[in-house]
Formats: sequence, C-alpha cells, structure tokens
Amino acid sequence: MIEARGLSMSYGRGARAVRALKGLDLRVAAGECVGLLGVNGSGKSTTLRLVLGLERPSAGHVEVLGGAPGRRAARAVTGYVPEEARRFGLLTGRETVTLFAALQGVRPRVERQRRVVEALGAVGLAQEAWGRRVASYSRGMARRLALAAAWVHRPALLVLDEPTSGLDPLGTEEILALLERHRREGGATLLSTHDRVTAEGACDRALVLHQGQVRLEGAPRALLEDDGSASLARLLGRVARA
Amino acid sequence: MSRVRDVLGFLGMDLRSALRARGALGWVVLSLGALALTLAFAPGASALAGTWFAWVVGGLALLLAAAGGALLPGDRLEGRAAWLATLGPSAARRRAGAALACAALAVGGALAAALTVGLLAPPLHLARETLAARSVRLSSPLSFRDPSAAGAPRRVRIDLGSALESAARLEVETRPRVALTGTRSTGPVTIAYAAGGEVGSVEVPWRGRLSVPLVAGTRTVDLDLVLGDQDLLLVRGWVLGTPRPFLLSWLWAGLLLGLAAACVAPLAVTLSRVTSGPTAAGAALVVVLVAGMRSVLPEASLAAASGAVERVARTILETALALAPDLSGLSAAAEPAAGRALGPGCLLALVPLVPHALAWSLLLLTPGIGRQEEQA
Repeated sequence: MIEARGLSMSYGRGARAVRALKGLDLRVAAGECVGLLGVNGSGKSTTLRLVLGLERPSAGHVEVLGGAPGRRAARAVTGYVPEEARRFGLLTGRETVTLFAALQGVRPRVERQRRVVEALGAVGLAQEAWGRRVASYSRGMARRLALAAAWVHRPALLVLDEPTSGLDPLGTEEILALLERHRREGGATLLSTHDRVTAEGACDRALVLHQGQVRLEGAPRALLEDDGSASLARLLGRVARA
Repeated sequence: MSRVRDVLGFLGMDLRSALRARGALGWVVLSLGALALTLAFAPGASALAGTWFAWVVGGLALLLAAAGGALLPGDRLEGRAAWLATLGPSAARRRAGAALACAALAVGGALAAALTVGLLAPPLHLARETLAARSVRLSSPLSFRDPSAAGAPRRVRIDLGSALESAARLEVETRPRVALTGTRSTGPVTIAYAAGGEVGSVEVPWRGRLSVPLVAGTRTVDLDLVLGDQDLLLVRGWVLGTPRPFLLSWLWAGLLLGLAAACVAPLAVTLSRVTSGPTAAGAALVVVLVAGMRSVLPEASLAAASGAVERVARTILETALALAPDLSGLSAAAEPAAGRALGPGCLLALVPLVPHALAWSLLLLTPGIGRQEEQA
C-alpha cells in the first residue's frame, strides 16, 4: 500500500536548510496499521505529507498504491485527517461529511446519504450535533467529524495526524473501534500519535522517530516493555536523549 | 460528468460559507442602504434615478465578484487547501468552483437588488412607465446647422427603417452644439416636425430629449429648427411603443449588470493563485476601474508621449487598457430608468466581455508550477 525508501526532506536551502527527514524507510501493507511516534519536530507530519503527495521528497522514493503519491487515483482511495480539523466552520457536520463523500465520488445520492449517516454514527458524533455548524464543535467533536469525512468513501488507505488528540476515553475507544473495522475490511492505516492507548490499541507496528530518523521499530507494547518505560512520554524522552 | 459534479460540490461549499459568514448580514444592510439612496435621489416626480441604480447595483455586484479573490487565500490561511488537495478532485476544479460561486453571488446579488427596487418603487410612486423601445439609426446630418454653409439652418431627416404598424413616439437625445454657432442662448429650443402627414412643433430643453408623436405608417420624420440661434446635436434615437412591465425591465438590467460583474470573478480568482486575498480583489477592481475609464485613458496616454518616463507611463496605460474588459455596453442598464424597456437582447452587450472572461478562465484552469500553489 505504501512503500518508501531512503526518504529525505529538507526545508529551506544552503546553511539555513532544515532536514526534517533523513533516509526514512517505511512500508505499510493492506490490513496493517502503522504508527509514527515521536516528539514534536521528529518528522511525523512531514512523513504524512510526503505520503499524501503534499510535498515532494528532497531524496528517496515513495509509492502509494503502486504509483506516485498525490496522483488522482491515489487521492480517490485515501482518507486524511489533519491535525487541526475545524476547517469548514461555516458548514454543519452533516454538510461537511456529505461534501467529502460527494467529492470522493460516493454515488448515487441515496447511497451517499446512507454512508454519511453511517460514518457519523461510527465515529460516535452525537446526532444533535450533525446539524450544527462545525465552528461550534469542541476539539474532540471536530476530530470525530474529520475521521467521519475521511472514512465516508471507505478508503483503502487512512492517513491520520493524531486522530485521538483531544478526545475523551470513550471517544478514543470509538475511534479505535472504527480503525479496527477499517483494518478488518483490508484497509491500511498510517497514523501519528502521542497517545499510548492509541498506539497500543490501533497499531500493529510503530516507528519511533527522532530528528527525522527511525530510532526504534516494533509492536508498540513490545517497544514499551523492552524499554521498561511506564509511559510513551518516557520512551520518547529516552529516545530523544539517546 | 464527474468534473461538473466536483465543481458544483465546491460551488455549494463556497456559497453556503459566503451566505453564512458574519459579513453577509452587513452586506445586506449595506446593499439596502445603497438601494434606498437610489430611490431617494430620484431626479423628478415619479421617476427613478437611473444612473444611480446602474452604479449602485453594478458596484455591489462587482464587489461580490471581486471578493472571489479571497476564497483561495482563505483556504490556504485556514489550512483547508492542504486538506482539499488530498481529495480526488484536482486543484483546477476547486478554483473553477470558487470562480463560479462568486459569479453566482454577483448575479444573485444584482438580481435581488433589481427585484427590491422593482418591487418597492411602484408603492412609493417612484416607478415610471417603461415602453417597448427600438433603437433608431441616426445618420448625417445630425445637427440643424450646416458648417459648410456658414452655419445656415438645414432640415434633419430621420429614417425609422420601416413603416410603423401602430402609433408610437420618437424620442431623440440631444446635446447643445456651442462651438459651431458661438451661441449665448441656453433657453428651450423649438423644433418643427413632420411625420407621416402629421405636423407640429415641440419645445425641447437645450440639453435633453426631443419627443415626437408618430402615427401608424410613418416611415420618416423631418425636423426643423424654428427659433433661436442655437444648434442641437442629435445623439441617439428610439421609437417607443407599447407599455412593458416595469419590474421585468429592472430584472433584465440587474441580470445584465450581474453577468458583467460575474465576468470579473475568473480574473480575481486567477490573481489569488499567487497573491493574498485583498491584493487579488483590489487588483481586479483596479482593472475594472481602468475599463470604466476606457474612453479617457487613450487621450491621457497620448498626452504622455515624450520623454522616457512618459513613455513608460504610456506603455503602462496601454497595457492596462489591453487587459481591461470592455464595459461600454453596460450603459443599457440605465434604459429602464429612462422609460425604455429592456429585453433579452440587452445581454448582447456582454459579448465584448466574453473574450476577457474566457482568457482569465483558461489561466484559472492551467496547472500550477509549484506544489504549494497547486494545493490551492
């Protein structure tokens, strides 16, 4: 589903260049969920942007669904949840998900309406909020909505930037249930997170990034147990100091 | 087909957002205030100020169209651009949707304004009778004195083109001709007419309209200056026929102005690909301002013919003129206020604007060079 080799990315030029990624290798197969863990500035979001085709790598190669990322065929079967999800404040929740469904080619109208209701229900967004403008949503509600918008067309690949950030435990559980369903249906997921529950509950494999390089890789629970860290924050801190 | 659906999807998104934005209510209040001015500044009893109507409605529609320059920068600023760029539809469809949304707002706004004026004017006794109008081609001589015979009086014959089927009225717009006669008199002018066997005389203001009753079967009208040392220039003429619905003419005028403003939307959105929202909207308005001064600027550019700086200024003026749309046909929007009904034919005035709008639409749809820009 995703195949990246020697992926490097620099922002700026010359002496002022900032190297956000240094030779990252990444593989995400169908039915697999891979998590990117790391402190701020470790290269998680840059990796997601390269996979989505929003940036071009300075070096290395990335393929999504057997072709270049960002091409139309790849975009049509990808769902993305950005870090800040309150972007369509003047639309209602239902309108937002309907818009995404329409733009991602869910037809006919009856099927689209059915999928919208299903997606909004699957992320646990209270029904009374569906007709409210997104600007009035809490951060957690906005994240649920963004995931509904990303999943409504049943993508083959979900790319999620901190999908459970700002969610209460119940909300996190509902999102994890949706990700599990996506995986059961053969979908791949690449996500970034700071949350141990999300990493352990959703990811088959995790890559711990620091300064644009993979420092650790493995099953999240195994990574924490091997390190002897009681929390993800301690593990990330230890990696950062190493 | 999916292209159309995608563009319509973005169009719906932008229209909903625009109509629900905080500024929308302010727009409505501003528009109603401007329209109230249009009604309040009626020049005479039972008449609307036509010039004001065209300026106010055209200006409002133009601002709505130019506001399209803020949509893509808004996407970039608020992070929507990157999110939308991950969806199936291309960036070009997003831009087309934005331009169409602004065009729709401009047309809708102009029609709403025309409807408001059209509905409010009759109960306020500010409506005037609008008559079916056919333009008359005026040919030489267009004045009552012969410059080759030391300004001697001469007859003016107006050919109506074909014999009238029913009674009507000839209306001719006149202007004073001062230079030829050196006249000092600015009083009314008496004109004798002979039309279809009917003769008579009418008194016309020095600068105003000459109106002659016509019987069925009339084909030509002869006009003679009776008194005074003045001369009049005949500018435009119409044959006015049966009454037409007042509201309908206003709606045609509103549609004409709205569609003309809509032609500016692709320009504003194209400019916003590489600039901020205010810059794109401002630049679009400047281009329209230049277009409005189309008749003056060529003279200004000729005046600045000598010297290096003047040559640069002249080049800038000429380039601006080449880029500016041709708005000359929009004067038709003032016709209903002058009592002349408008019909679908008035939309032909938009033809000179089409190449301009098409050129900017093509630039709107061309792929971007950089990824950052492509996201928008």
